Amino acid sequence: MYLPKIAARNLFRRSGRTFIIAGVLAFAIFFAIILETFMAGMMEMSFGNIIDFDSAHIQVARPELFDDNEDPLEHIFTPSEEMMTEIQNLPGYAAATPVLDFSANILAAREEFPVRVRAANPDSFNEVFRYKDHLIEGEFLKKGSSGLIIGINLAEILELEVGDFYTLLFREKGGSLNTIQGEVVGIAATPEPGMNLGTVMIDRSYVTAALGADSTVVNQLKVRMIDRHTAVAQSDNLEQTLTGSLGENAQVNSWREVSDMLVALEVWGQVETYFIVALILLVGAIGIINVVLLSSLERVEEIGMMKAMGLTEVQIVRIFSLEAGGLGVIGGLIGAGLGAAGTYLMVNFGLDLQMLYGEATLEMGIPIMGTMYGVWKPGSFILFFCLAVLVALLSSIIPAYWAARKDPIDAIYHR
Amino acid sequence: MGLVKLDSIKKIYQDGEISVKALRGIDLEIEEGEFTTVYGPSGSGKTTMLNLVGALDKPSEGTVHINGSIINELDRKGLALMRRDNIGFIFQSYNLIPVLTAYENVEFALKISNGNHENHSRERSIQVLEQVGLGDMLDRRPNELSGGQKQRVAIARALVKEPRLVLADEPTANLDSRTSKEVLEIMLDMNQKLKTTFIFSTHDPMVMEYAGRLLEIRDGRITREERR
Amino acid sequence: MKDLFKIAWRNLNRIRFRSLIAILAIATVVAIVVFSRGLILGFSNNTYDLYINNNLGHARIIHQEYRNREVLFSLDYPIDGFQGEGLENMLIEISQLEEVEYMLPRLKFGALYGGQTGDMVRMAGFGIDPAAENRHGLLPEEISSGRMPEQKNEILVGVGLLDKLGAEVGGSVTFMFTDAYQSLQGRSFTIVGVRESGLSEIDDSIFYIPLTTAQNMLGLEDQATEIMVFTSDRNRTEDLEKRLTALFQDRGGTESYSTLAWQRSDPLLELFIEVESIFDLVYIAIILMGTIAVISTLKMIIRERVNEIGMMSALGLKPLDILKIFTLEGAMLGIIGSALGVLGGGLINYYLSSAGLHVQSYADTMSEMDVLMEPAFYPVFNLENLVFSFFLGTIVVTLTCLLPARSAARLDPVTALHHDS
Repeated sequence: MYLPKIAARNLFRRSGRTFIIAGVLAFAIFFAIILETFMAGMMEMSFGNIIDFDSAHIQVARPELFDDNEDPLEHIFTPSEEMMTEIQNLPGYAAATPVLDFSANILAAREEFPVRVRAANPDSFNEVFRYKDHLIEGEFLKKGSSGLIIGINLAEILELEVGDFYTLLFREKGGSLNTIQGEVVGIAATPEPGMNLGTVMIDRSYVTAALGADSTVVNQLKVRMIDRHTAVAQSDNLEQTLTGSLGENAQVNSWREVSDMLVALEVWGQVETYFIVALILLVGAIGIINVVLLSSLERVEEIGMMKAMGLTEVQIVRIFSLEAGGLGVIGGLIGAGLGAAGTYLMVNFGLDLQMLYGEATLEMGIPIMGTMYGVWKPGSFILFFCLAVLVALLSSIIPAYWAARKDPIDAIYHR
Repeated sequence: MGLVKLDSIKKIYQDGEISVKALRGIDLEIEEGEFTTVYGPSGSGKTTMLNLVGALDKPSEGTVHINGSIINELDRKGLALMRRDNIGFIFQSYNLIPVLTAYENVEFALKISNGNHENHSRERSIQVLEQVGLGDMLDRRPNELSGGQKQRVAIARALVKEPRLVLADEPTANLDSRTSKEVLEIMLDMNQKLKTTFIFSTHDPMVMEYAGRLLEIRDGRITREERR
Repeated sequence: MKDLFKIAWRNLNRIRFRSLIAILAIATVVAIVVFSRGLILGFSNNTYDLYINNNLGHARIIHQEYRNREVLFSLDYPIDGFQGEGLENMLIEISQLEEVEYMLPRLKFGALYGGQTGDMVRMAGFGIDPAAENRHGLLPEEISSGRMPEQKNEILVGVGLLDKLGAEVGGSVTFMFTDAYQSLQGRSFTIVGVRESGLSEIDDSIFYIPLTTAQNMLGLEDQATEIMVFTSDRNRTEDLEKRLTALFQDRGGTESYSTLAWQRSDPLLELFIEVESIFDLVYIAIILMGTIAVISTLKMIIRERVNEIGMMSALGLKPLDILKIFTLEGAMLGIIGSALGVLGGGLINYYLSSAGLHVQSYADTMSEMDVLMEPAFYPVFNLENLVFSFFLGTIVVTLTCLLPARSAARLDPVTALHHDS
């Protein structure tokens, strides 16, 4: 009982020193927590945008489609009744819509630009995606019409407006060139930058007719679930059912698998955070060695007396380690407190990314625009708090041993 | 055999090129219950001898027996446990732990040993502090106590676990004569009541008057011995 | 002063372990500064150079209307010289400007490949001046097999693109393109070389043909879509820009053409340049964290020596001298620590500048992003960084030591002498 008491009281003997070193630890923890919540917020928003505008929660397609993004028209199929039933029976199912994607060049005025054409069912599409809320001009697709919806950036570079004519030039499954022509009916501005430039949308029944194909063909089924997190597990289940008992040639991907970039970015963000935190903690560790050393030097006679009283070296090391551990706890608590305050601000008020990054995120292709909100990550509070305490404890051991191993006679007489 | 036995002890300190012979051959036996004073000028080797008797150090030659154990054979931890269980120390500069109160300083000494008073350490600590006349200063920190009061806390700390042997290195050197007397009376009282063995070092003639056995050390040798 | 120095040095030697830890603290933070500065410099240098050498030049001349249509590979706004006198003349005139080292004219266009399999591959074609590229450009160094396209129907293909085309060196490839008159054309080329830059952004979609061939087939004789202009050093871009602007004003080119300095050509680079300037503050913050150990050590030294300070001032040492002694002690810790830190950080950078710092997740991220960045970090190892970090460390430590030193100098000699330590 006495060792912690002595340690705690000594901690406040030089409270200035204590709080400065605790401050370094607190800074490390605060920084880590904020970075984590920032990364988590960015991921939440990026994945959210991809889900809402591009991938949905679950997508079902021929396996080849996911490997080959050049020629989606090669990998079309007609969803069977059983397949649709399976999808609708998924726990947490909300909605599904078929799409037929293909590559084309859009020709307008004197220019030409490669795009992905997404042929969609006007009614069910908006149950899965949030496109409709983001039309800034014109109207949504109509069944059987050749109307085209383009993104705002594409509209800018091609100088297209609602009502202008367009031509889509593409290669059919056989290899022969084909065109679709019509009017631009809508312009969309979504928070998913990829959709604003490289993707145009058209009614699916119109396209299948133009292709002379069966009106039922699709190359992807997009499924919306009630909750994003159940989607990951359900997509695996669905794939097993489809390929297993139904014997379909199908692959089911969840939103997590859609963007390799985001997954890689998430890992990289973590590596980066840990690296920076490790560097700050390294400085903190040296600070703690310094503190323990200084306080052992100040208390040489006291250590000598304790040794004379028969305290073993381990017990003396424990006094100093407890003191350092206390430093870790104080630093950890301050850091976690500041981190909580920072997270609270980020969660409730958000951060304007355009102010922070300018146009650069769009340039890099990260799907975030507008205000980003933080995410509470209780795990990182616990992790980094424990890390600070651990670092403090570990780095105290060497100087504590140095102090504890002093010859008791030298120590008592302060030689 | 006595409580402490020194057998042709030599102690040589090596300081760079120079070696200092602090003790040049000491034979001494101290019986249980003795109240011994070691005196001599500074540098005579009395503190070195006390350190050996207190298991704080090992001799360069010869053997030291304390309470039946040969301390030459103990490692650092063994020495620590030997001190913990058998020896109390009192130093000239008190060496109290500044962050603990008078009461806590005493109880701390009791708590680190697995002694007899485990279950009533509080009562025992207060009792000893009352014996040294500090019953009303239990909660004072060392910096709130006078020199004499500090030394009395140190005595209480040394005695609280009822060691066989108490070593006091110039315990009165920083005290005025009236306070010194009080402190010595307390120690003598303990010696008589509890049969605790005391060994002092001093060069204060007044202290010598209290001694039951007087040893004079000069140049690392016992030059005179006297029993009263 | 010499005596003060001696006193300071001896005091530091009194308890070496303590001084050593303070030095270690400074060494660590300075090493972190050397390393992170080297990393940032390396990263931005690499990135800037990649953008400059591949896309931007130090300054790039384009038609004013071209900028927004660049992604379209528009052929409607080419550079046809001053007053339509042709590209050749314009290049000659620019080359006579003082700051201009060399120029790389490029004619960019879009192309489609429709092979036997029915696959459709979209590509970007760069018409390049083989002579100029050979002399100055990055291209020849990055040819992994074969050679540069020199004439007529020779083509150099990115390694990823070659794979997509299913072709090989020596083989032939036919693709379609739209010429300046909007008519769809086809043309066959012989693959004479493969470019492997290591960046998927470049390798997967770009091919290179001689400029004259491109001009010819697109109907843009003596024209290009852009001119990349290079000066001796990217830091001299401003001078280059001034010269170019002057020439344009002279020759009446300001109305149709614009000059884009590399710093202002890409939002990503703009962000990096901005962030880089913030980092100097970060370096100071890092070093301040290390000074904590020095300050607390110094404070303890002062506490131990209150009597001595009283003695010294009683002997007539002025407060300023006392201030000097303690500041000097701190400065010594700072100098030794910074020197060790520079040594350590320098060694790390020296090793990594050639070996590279490879992080898998970073490489994955970079390969997925639409950016020109190396998939690994190569910190810069240079003297400037070491000297900068050394002085930053020394100066910050010395300045912060003024605080405790001042409190020592202000001690009242009487109370100091009677201090009970």
